[in-house]
Amino acid sequence: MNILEANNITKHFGGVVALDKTNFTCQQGKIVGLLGSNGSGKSTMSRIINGTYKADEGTIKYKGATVFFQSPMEASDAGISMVYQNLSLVPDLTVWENIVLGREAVSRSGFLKNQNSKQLAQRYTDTLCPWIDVNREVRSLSPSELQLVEIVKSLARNPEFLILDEPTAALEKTHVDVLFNLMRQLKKDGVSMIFISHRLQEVKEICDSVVVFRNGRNAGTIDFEKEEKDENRIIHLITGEIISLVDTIKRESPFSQVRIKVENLSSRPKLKDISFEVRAGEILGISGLQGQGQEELMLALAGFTPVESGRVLIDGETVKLKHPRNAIQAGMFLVPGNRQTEGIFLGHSIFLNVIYPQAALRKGPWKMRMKKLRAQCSRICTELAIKSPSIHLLAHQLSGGNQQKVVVANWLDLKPKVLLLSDPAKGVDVQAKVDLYDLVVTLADEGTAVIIYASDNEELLRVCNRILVVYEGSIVADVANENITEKDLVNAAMRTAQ
Amino acid sequence: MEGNTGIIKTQMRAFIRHEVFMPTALLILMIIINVILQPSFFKGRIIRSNLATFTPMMLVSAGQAIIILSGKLDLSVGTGISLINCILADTMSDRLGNSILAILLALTVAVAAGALNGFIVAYLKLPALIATFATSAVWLGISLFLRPQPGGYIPIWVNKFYRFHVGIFTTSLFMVVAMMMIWFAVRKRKIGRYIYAVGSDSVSAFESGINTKRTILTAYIFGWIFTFLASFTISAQMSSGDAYMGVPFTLNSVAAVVIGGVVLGGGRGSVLGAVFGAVVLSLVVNIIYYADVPSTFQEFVKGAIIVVALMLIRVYRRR
Repeated sequence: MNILEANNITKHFGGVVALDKTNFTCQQGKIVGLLGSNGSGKSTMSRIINGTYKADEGTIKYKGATVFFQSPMEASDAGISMVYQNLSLVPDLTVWENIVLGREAVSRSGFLKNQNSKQLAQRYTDTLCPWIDVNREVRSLSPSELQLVEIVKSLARNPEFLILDEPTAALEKTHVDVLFNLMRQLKKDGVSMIFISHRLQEVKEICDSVVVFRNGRNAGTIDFEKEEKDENRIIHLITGEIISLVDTIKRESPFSQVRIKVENLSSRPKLKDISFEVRAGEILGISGLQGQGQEELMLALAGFTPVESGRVLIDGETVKLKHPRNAIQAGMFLVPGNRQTEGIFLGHSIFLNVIYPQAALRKGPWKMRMKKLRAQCSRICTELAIKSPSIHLLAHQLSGGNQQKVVVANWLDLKPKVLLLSDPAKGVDVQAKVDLYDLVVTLADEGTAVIIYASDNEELLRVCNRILVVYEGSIVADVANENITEKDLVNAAMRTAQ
Repeated sequence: MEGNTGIIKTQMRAFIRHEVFMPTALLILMIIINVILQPSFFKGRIIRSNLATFTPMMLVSAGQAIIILSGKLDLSVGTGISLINCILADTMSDRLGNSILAILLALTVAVAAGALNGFIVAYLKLPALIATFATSAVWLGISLFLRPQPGGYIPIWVNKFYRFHVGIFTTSLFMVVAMMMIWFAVRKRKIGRYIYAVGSDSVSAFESGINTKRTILTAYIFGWIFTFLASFTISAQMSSGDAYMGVPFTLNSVAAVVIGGVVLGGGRGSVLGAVFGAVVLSLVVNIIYYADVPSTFQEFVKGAIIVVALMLIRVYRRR
């Protein structure tokens, strides 16, 4: 039985068509994988189903009846609950207040029954993340803890239909496994689910079928119960062409000149006595379990967080890292990982975003050559395949993956000496990931030293010459990327952990 | 023993980090300075007179705090005070029934004004800063129409009622305490939590199934009930109507809210803190008076003290 049927859904945002007569169905008690590259309309479809957005055209049938949800509240009352990609948590409330938010237990006279709510929240956190204190303020949680609380919050609503929009992007493997066990349990209880993820492994593991969107249209459906779980076929549906993920990019050995030298860098509490060198043209990966200081290392190098001791030399000259300006002037640029809050002006156009760094450097003539800059920006957009009708579109109108490309585009024409990438491909689709890393390799070939932190080891193995493994703020392994596998990296990180 | 000191330490930390800690500390500091300059500060008569003078500011700041906690702002509470004051001065008379009707009329106007502001900001989605700036001009315009020159009549019993006291327990103190208790009760209901949730992150609140528009509208109405009481207490003291009388309250209330530790973006802080902030701000005026600051320098000194207070709050937040 189909519990949900979305027929001929169309949705526009300004001039951008997010969904174009798209269909989606889900059967009772099944987990449907919703796949597609960034901007293909997955999140939009989810938000239309749960009432956050209203469709311009098309109908939604839920449990056999046509429904028009005006808000998430109405959908939630009908048993539809959603794990939002960008989280629906309120930073100033506690974990338990967030979990029950909008569905608080009240006494007959209308006063909040906080003890009941706390117990309920505790019961649900125990199933997924028992170590999180429900009395903590949400603003103090780490990204993966936030993601877990967001999942717990949707579960606490006792959904009959659950939409999980990229719930695993911020999670470690162990947490993903716990989540999958919970999902299997829910499935047994008859709950139907939509699962959105860019990780094909996960989709193959948990989903009963997949629906693929491409550019806001249906690209195809694969029923895993009848058909093979063919990864190449799925990728083909997603991208429309055949790309292979496993090919490692073969690279010439790097230049001999040392580009950046880091000596005994410390910054409490996360970084302890870190030393390494990167040569021109070399791509260095930073690996390790989540939250071991990788992001902090990137921020410290970029001058965002103060360095307590140690020094950093670029081309033999000491860089004082007091302010991001120092790093930028020395030719060291950071592409931040959290594009929602760093690295992009969401309210400004693509064009302005791309030219800000150039403006900030105060090089060149007093009057900016707008015509030249516009041509430059258009060229970058084409090179990076940024999907947009115009370079004057506002950044927040772009999909997540395209936003990330804009962040990278910022620094392209400045010929960076050192490029820092902090989890650049988080939540970015297969095609965009390939484009992004091709670009990084091109930059490296021109002599840039690249340092990448990625939560996904596969990405590192694909492009890096050398990989450092970080544990509790120190480097515990330094391996050349020759004949090593993901398992070796995880082993190196875990062995120290024990 | 060690475990004991550990508990005390964590309790101390929780105490220091509590949102009302900083405004309380500032309040105590101001009282100390005031007592040094004015040794008679703790005499019953002085306390009563101070309470009567500070109460309007305390009430309007509490109202502003509720609106700011919901993530918005109201720049029209000042001329709103004027409007309510002019209505009272125009309609009240010595007949008690008449006066009660006048008070009810003024309260209705206050709630309607708050609802209109809330509607414009929440439902029409106009920016609160400009929208309430515009309505503030509207309130002033109506006030001037009602009362082109200061005057009108407020019966003497209103003033007597306001000045009534048992020891230092005055009507004004009772009003502030009663309103705070009502607010604490509201805090224990859904709407109280929703005001904080919407102020903290309105998109997340909406996605969690909260009616964010109605929440903002409700916050404005609460704010204006406080504003009504503020205007009533001023009217009781002035015993007449004046269209310009409320104007300075607007930005003073915003300043009191910030000194009281409420974050201007919303979602963080407490209404009690804002009330303390209002007292701090009022004591600054007292201090300047008793410190014999030349009248030409008073505004300068007042501004400087506020800047220092805000800097203290900022340093405290950073830790």
